[in-house]
Amino acid sequence: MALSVVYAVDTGHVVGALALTGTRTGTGAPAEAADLVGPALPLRVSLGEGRVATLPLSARELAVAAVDDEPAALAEPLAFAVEVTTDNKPKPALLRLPSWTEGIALAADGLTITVQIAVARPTPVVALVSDEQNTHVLGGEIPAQQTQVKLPVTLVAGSAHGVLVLAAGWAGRLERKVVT
Amino acid sequence: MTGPLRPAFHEGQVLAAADLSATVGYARANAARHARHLHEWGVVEGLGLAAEPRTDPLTNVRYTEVSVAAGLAVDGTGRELVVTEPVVLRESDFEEVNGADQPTDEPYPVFLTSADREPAQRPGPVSCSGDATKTRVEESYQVLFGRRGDERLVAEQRPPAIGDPPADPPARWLVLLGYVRWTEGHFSGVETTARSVAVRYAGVRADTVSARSGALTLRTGAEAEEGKPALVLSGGDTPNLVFGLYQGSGTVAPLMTLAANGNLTIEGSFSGRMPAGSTLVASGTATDGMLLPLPSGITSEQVADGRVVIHVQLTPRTPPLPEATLYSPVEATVDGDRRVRCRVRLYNPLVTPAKVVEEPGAVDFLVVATVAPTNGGG
Repeated sequence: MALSVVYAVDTGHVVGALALTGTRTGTGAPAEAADLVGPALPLRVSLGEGRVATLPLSARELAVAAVDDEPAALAEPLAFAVEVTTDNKPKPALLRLPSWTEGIALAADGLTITVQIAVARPTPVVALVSDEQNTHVLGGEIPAQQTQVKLPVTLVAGSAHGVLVLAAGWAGRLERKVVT
Repeated sequence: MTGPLRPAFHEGQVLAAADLSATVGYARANAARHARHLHEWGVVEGLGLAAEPRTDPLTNVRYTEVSVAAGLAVDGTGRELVVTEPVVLRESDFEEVNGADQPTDEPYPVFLTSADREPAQRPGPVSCSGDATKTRVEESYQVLFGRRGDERLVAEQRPPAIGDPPADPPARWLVLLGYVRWTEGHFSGVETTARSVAVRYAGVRADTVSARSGALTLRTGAEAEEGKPALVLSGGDTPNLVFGLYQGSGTVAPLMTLAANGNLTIEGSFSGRMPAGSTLVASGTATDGMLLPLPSGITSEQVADGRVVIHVQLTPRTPPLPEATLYSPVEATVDGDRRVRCRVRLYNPLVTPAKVVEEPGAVDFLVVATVAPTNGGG
């Protein structure tokens, strides 16, 4: 089996995976993410009562890597990341990311993301928030030696939204959140 | 009409100048007919246009010098055009033809044509009669500038009748050497192609080409050059046809080999029309949102226009589950774009508060492509 993953260029998170039978590991990955996902990769979140929010990640923000076999990446892609070398080439081994719970708060004026440990370097963050037929794409970073960032977005109090949070170095989160 | 007249001589015959001229003319006509009918006319060797930056030593003004390299061409009448040394083109000659044009980026054609000249030095003694009539003709040439678009005249030239000798000047046959660019009253560069008309090189007309060494090679350049392609038809004990690229050693590294038993070996991948009824398969595992791949050799266009029919079988893939967790697939399907839609529900009664969690899932897939019969295929 040859495993190809589609990952977010800004944070390294794996957002989709494809394993093909009969091809060698580490070979045969398409050059473009669009070959594997089309114009965008739709990530879906159940909002309850039969409603599903779709969060499209544009293929322009994604890249493809042929990586070593990692069955867990097919079950839980957001728990893995692609690391790149100094010349910006993806490394063959996927990086398992630490999971985290809590730390995502959706308010009428913004999305607050709080990670558990501060690190020495700024942490790039990309977040997508569904809003009826629209999607808010938010970007920012958690400053060095801090654990929190608030990404401004205007939402209706009490409404339910699909939220994707990709904070570099932490497992990606895809879940339903209600504006408090 | 008579056929070619071969001069014949007998003992005691008084040879006139016409007899000797006929001897030369017979040989010239033979060579011309060979060149005309067994070859395609054009540049045989050299004759490339070259642009070199120069500086006027008196004024220090920089300019571009354009020259024609020494070489050989055969025109459409079968006459050879021999340029024995490089010729620098004169801007005044260009201005005579195109000097009144508005400034343009379009290049102008440069032609070579035949010209007969009297040699500068008389070869050998003059005749006993003291007649000053010339005894040699220099088969020379002339470089001509054309107007933009005149390159089309090259294709409109008509060869002489089947048995004619080469046409002597003033009959004119234009051989296109290339193009010059003209900027602010001076040459500024050269081109080999303009307005879809390129320099024409000499060729061969043959229904059979045979090799004496046992191998016949076709290549794209005069010399074997590393990295350039070649087609080699070999006889011997293991006859084969090889397409490949030249290596530094001068041998051809095969990319495609057709052996005498019909076996075809290729170094790269193969794509082409599959016969009707063919079945190709791709299988593997894909996560939610990914597009399922088509089997190798099948294109989206073939699927879209109905030449290939796709069958998809999906099986939801059970994720690794914590102890006591219950799992149920909610959705496992593929849409018209072959995009996977897979969601699963997980429930762990041991977690407080116990709740159902819905997540993206993965599927094991089998994609089968069958080639539909067509009127022209199969």
